[in-house]
Amino acid sequence: MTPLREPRASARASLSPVGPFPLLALALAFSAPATDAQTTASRIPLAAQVAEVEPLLSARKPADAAALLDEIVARVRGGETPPPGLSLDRLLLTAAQTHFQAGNFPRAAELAESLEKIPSTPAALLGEARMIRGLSLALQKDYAAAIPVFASAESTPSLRDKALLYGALAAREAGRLPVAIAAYNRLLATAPRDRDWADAALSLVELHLRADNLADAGRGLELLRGQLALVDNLAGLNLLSLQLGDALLKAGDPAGALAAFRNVGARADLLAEQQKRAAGLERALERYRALARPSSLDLDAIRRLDARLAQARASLAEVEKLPAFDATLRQRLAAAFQERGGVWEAALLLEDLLARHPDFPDREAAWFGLVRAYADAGRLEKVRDSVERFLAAHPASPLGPRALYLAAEGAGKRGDLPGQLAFLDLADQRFPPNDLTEPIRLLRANALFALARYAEAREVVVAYAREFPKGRFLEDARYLAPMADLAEGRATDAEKQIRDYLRDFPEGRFVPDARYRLAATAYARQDYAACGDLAAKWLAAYPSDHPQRGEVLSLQGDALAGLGDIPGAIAAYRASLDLPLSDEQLGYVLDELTRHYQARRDYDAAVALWENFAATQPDHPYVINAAYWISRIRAKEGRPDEALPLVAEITRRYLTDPDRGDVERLLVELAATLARVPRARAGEPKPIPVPESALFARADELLLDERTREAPTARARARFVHAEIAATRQNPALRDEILGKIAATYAPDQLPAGILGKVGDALLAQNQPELAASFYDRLVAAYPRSLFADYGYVGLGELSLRAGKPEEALARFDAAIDVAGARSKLKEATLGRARARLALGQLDAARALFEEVAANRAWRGEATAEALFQLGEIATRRATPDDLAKAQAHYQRIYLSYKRFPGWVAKAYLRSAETFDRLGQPAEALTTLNRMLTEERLAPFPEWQKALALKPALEARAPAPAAQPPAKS
Amino acid sequence: MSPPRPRLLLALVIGHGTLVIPPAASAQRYILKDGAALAAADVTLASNALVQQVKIPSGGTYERRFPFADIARLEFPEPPALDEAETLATAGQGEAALKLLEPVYRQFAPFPKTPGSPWPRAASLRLQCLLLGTDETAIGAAARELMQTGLGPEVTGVAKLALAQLDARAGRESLARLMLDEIVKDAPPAVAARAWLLRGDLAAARAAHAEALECYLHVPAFYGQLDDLMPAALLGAARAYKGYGDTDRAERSALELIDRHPATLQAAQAKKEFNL
Repeated sequence: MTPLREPRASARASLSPVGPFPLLALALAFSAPATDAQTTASRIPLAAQVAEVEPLLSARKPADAAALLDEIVARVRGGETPPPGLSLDRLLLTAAQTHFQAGNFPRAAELAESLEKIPSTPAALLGEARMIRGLSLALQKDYAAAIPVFASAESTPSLRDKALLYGALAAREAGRLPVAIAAYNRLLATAPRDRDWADAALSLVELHLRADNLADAGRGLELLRGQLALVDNLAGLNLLSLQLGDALLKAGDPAGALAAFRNVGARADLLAEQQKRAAGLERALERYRALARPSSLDLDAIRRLDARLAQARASLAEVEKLPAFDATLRQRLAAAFQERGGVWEAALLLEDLLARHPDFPDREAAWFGLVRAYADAGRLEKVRDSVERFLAAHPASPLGPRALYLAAEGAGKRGDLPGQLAFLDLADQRFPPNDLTEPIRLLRANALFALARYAEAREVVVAYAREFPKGRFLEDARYLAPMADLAEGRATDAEKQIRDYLRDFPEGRFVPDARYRLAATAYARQDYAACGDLAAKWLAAYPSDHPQRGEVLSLQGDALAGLGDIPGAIAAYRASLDLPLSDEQLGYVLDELTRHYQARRDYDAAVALWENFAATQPDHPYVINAAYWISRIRAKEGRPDEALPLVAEITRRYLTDPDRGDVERLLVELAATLARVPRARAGEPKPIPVPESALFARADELLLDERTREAPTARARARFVHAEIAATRQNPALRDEILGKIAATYAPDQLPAGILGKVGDALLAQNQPELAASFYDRLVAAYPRSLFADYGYVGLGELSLRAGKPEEALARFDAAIDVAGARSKLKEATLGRARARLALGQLDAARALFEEVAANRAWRGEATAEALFQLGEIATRRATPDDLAKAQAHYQRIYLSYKRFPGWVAKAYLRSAETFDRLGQPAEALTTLNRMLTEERLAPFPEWQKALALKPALEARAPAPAAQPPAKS
Repeated sequence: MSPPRPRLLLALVIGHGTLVIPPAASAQRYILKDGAALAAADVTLASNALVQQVKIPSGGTYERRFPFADIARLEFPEPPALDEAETLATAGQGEAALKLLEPVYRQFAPFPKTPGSPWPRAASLRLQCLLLGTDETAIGAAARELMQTGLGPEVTGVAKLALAQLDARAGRESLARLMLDEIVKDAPPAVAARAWLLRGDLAAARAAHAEALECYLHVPAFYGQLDDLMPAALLGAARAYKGYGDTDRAERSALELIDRHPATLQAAQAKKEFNL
């Protein structure tokens, strides 16, 4: 007969990470009512006394039964023989258990310990004794003492799980988290996967969190996430996930935090699911409670379900209590994304939060986070928009200046200096002085400086130095002022301030640069000797690995060149090439060396310089420049063929990569070299030009090898060379035909920027606007800042104008200049802006732009004719006699000076005649028309018919003068 | 002090799971509304009923019919073909997956809405596989069949998504967008997330890179628990970042895809496209 017989299933009880310590409940579950107690008596026969125990227990009088058992134990210890079937060890165990039931834990522990000391105690009884002692100690709150007792009970297989569970609970209460964690781990390693397992796992996660074992907690939660059906305390799981995420975020593990937060559901879903699970628990409880005669197992199940339900409800209440659960979850997710660089995702989450949770108490922080996310993503339009919305919603938010500062930094990183200034100005004007005022002022000065608004930059730093005489950025301000003067060419003023700076900040951050600038000011005032001297002193003063050394050597080269010491200059430049230089400086030095070598007719040295560069820095962007210069120099020498193999080899390296837009420069050069007709030598007949087909074959041979032949981009580039050869050979029809074939053969995404633009132009010229648009679209989408992006913006602007969308067109033309730098299409972009302004009725702005076109000598041609015509049109609209006279002058200039453009000439004649008529000069009008009608080449233009229609009316009002040939231009 | 128990635990959990899976044939039962159970092996399927041949003690048999309407639920183990087909579909092998799916799809066709029936999953997977091909008539029919069956928002959403995909393929972008807008508003997370992916594809096709990015990134931002959709979202995001000009983030997105979902088609594609 075993007084303590519990099935394995009852060994685990419900736990919750947020609930009270359920050790008492567990202990009661453990100690099922005894049914086989023995009775005894001191004066009566022992067997009779043993028989009295059971009625007392049945009558729920465990204290009386315990006292009786104490007497029986004493008698047996005194030498009496126990009744058959009973032994001292069983009596001791029953007594211990009965004292435990009676709540006399010290006595229970004492009896159990005495049993443990009997060497002959069977293992099963020994285990039960240890459990009783462990529980008795724990219930007396002596958790530390209970831990080893439970540990020793683990060796009894039937009690192992219970011992582990109670051991873990005791260790947790004793604050010995590693011991508790180890016990849970041992328990979970062998426990069946059921709801008790999930409860224990949840407790383990909580312990890991408390012990700062975040990785283990994360793994535990991940495991539970895969077993959600077993988790009754879903709310507790979600709360733990939030806690873990917060802890991981704090510990600098945003990826882990993200994984934890992703385990948390939306509040409504969570509440609904938790309520469903709680209802399930309640139903299960009801089923057990309805049992007429529940077994000890059933009673244990009831206790466990009760405890689990209580925990789940407590967690649920906690979730319900949390303000703005969903909004804070969004905020947490956004923070985790932001920290791991997922700024686009952070912005999406915060936009959602702000849109869906208008009552969220921490909206200012959310707005700030949104601005930061957009700024970090470099999405300046979004930054502007979010800043405006933020400040509209919270005009006096203390986070306002910070948001604006961040927005300004973001704009600066993207090179949008006007945008940066706008944010800084807003921050300065809108908010009273705050802890960001100083950095805002300095950043503003830097932005102005970078925008070449040197005077304003200077003004800002001077004001800063006055307002903040002990400011954090005083040194910066003091140094930036002379730099602004230097940039504006006031070298003398700058020099004095630099010297003042060196005096006041002898150990300052900018001292090496200041000394270099002093040398540069000497160079600026053409005092090359002083410059050389200062540069030499600089080189002597600073170590050989100083990052500015290359720059100073370059300046020394400039000084020596200024002094006429070209070999010395070349030596200095060459020395600088061995040191770190920015790309801009490197380009300058290489170009200077090339210039000096060419001036000395030392072409081989120049070519060797670039060949060496291409060999030693094969991946540098300037390798393209190397090929370009080698080709140019050898062509200049009349030895173009010598350069071709190397140029072709360099070109082939990048031929398949559409992102290397600068390759087109080389291709144009290559085409020019191939298409050039060799010079005639004295006494020899003029060389016969090589047929174009042969040149195409030669280009293919140079460019297409095994690696490049199959690449669509490379093949398109080879065809592009053919088109350029045709263009060089003055064969535009063939050029356009080839470009058309490229358009028909290759998808826009296979083509580099340079070809996209030219193909687009060819298609536009062939009146295929939709096809052209696809190439322009690709160009501006994929290569918005390439050398050739202006082709795309101008092309799209032209298409928008044709479609009657002048506002859109204006934006495109503006982008051609402001975004793409209008490297190739400044004329077209300016003309496009003028046309768009005119179409929008913005006459003054349009006139200014047309005047700019008309005045530019380099653009003289059809653009000038158009600009003059439109200037005439604008003046005509004003219709004052003075304006009409001005218009007349514009029209006359066209038909006198721009006869090469008959379309404009026809328009100009007609409008000139009409204007004369409006000025009340019908005779002059008729003369103009007659002049026009002598030029039969104008007959195809619609103005010709209009002129014929107008002529009789003029003749009626004035005698027609004899037709005269137009004046010579 | 603690060894990595969760891993050990996982191993044990898996081991335990393996042990308890019963033989497939043993659990194939039809449970009737009156609680009676019919072993699948004891009945045949007729047009509207299960038919059981009942032996008469005196010899011979008679047919006993159980109308489908009287069936409360099916107790069939999930056909392994479904998991296998899903794996194939994920790997882009639509035709092979369809071969596995068709028998299941047909076998359970009489029980589209009966609890325990694997038909909804089979039909959804079938639609997914058809979408990998070009038979637009079959896709449309399969989608409409699912919508008409009324299996709940998840399945209906999947069907609507397929129709949106058909519109997108046919160049009817505005129609596709309308359908997707509707899905995004109402559908359960798994469907809504797929709708965002498709919206991303549409925007990417227009080279609207910022819009495409926002669509793709809805998946990690709002549906981060849907691991199976992450590869498509990450690849789409990587391409959109590249198109937008943010090569650093493009590469990071591709690397995350390759690192976290190495065995996917999208990871292989990312390796190729981004030279990783």
